[in-house]
Amino acid sequence: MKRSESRGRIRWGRFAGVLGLALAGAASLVTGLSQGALAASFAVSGSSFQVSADQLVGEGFVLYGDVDRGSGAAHVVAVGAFRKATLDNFCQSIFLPKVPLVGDTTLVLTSGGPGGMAATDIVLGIASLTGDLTLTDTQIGIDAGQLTKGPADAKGQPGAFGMQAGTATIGRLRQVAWSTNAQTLRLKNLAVSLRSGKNECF
Amino acid sequence: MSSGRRDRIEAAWRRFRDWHRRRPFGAGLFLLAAGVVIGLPPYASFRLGDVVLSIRTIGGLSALLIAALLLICTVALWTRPQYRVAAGVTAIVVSLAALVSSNLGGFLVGTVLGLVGGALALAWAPPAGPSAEPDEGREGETGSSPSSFRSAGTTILVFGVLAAVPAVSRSAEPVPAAEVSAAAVTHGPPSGRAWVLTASVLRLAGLQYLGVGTTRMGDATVAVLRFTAHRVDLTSLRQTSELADGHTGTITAPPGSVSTATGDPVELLTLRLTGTLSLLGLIGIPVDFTPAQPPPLVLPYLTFTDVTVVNTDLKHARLVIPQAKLTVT
Repeated sequence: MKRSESRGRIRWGRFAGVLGLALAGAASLVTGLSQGALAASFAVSGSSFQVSADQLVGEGFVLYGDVDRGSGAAHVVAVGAFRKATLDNFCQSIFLPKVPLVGDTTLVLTSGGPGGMAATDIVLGIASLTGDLTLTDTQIGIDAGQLTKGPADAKGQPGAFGMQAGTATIGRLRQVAWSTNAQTLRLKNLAVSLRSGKNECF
Repeated sequence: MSSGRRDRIEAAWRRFRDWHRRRPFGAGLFLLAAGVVIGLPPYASFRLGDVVLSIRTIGGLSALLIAALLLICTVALWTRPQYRVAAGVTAIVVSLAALVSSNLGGFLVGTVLGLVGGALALAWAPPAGPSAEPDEGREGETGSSPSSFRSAGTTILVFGVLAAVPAVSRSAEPVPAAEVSAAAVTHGPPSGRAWVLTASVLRLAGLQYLGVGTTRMGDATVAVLRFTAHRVDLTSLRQTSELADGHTGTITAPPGSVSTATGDPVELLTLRLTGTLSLLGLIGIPVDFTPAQPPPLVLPYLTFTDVTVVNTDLKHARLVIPQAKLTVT
């Protein structure tokens, strides 16, 4: 019949060869990502989570108020944004209560060592933050809509309070945040673990 | 009636079957799925137990771009099978690029789907003549060796390009933020809202009072006291400001700790200063300075206790706050 003549075929040998090479390429990219050689951009928001670091060194810091609606519920947050930030001994934890079958669980990401986490154009929705704060070229009381030193998108409502600094260093950082957005995030020596119970970074 | 409809459905199915057998249909399906998996997450949210995870990437645009390219490849494969090599290579390249630029390539799933789809497109052979039909099983191996060399070549080229892309994008790092601060010396950007500074002890060194000036606060022009100082020491600092919708942001330092602002000099625009002026630590004089009631005499070194300062601006300061605590209430 006519239809069997007009049927395309798959050359499975070629398929295997091409797919093998492509997957090898993907694997090398993933390896590069996990070693911090390449940058992955992603952002997670919607539940409050903890971030701790021995030290944060940032450039182009701005701070203003905003309402985070990432999870549907509105949370008033202090938006802290950096053009560039490097964190030593980075730890991030998200508490997941009452996970089916296993109960309370904590998802913990750690990136050990100096410069464990590096980010560009990072925007954080902060609920609370503690640390030894050093700011240079600080301007406090700027219109939040006129902030110039942070990432291009990091601006608040015109007429609202804002502050900015050329550089920011935060020692012994302990932070509870609702959202993180970054253009790029680099995590060195990344370790992801699930801990049972409430077992967070601090 | 009903048999006629069944015939029509059967005819339509046969037409579809003949149509999809003459083009890399499965490859297109994989690319379609990859496009959806990579393109949707930046605009979607998931529920995981009680926790809602919504993923909002600044790089959402790149996810959209990659998804669009994959969908274009799908359409190209289905309507113009003769361009399957170009579409397949493009699909593999953008699927690998998605790994780096867009949520780990749709959390790996999108990239894997895209790679399978691209490889299927490259491995697809168009309908052969009737004579080619019997040796379908074996021809895959005999006929593949020269062409698989070619496809291997393209794939290596693809990796070369991919390796170059991050290197180029990294060399184009954002420019340092030096140029913006120069403009803000005299006529800085308009002030936002007033903020309040309280301290148990406020020590000012290298202080100069420059008289009453004006600044913009929101839409209004307000009178302010203009000070400069080389060093400001604040014991038990507490700074509050209205952030949004009546909520307050507070930065506090532990009781007894000293926070400092230093500069060459620090500029301070003040609406009101109330507290106790301490003269040599012996006499305390309650003061309340406003632009309507400016300080009669300002010495280079002044110490206030239990002070509350309402400011509009503080500029050009190097600010050190030990064990600072930022909270939103």
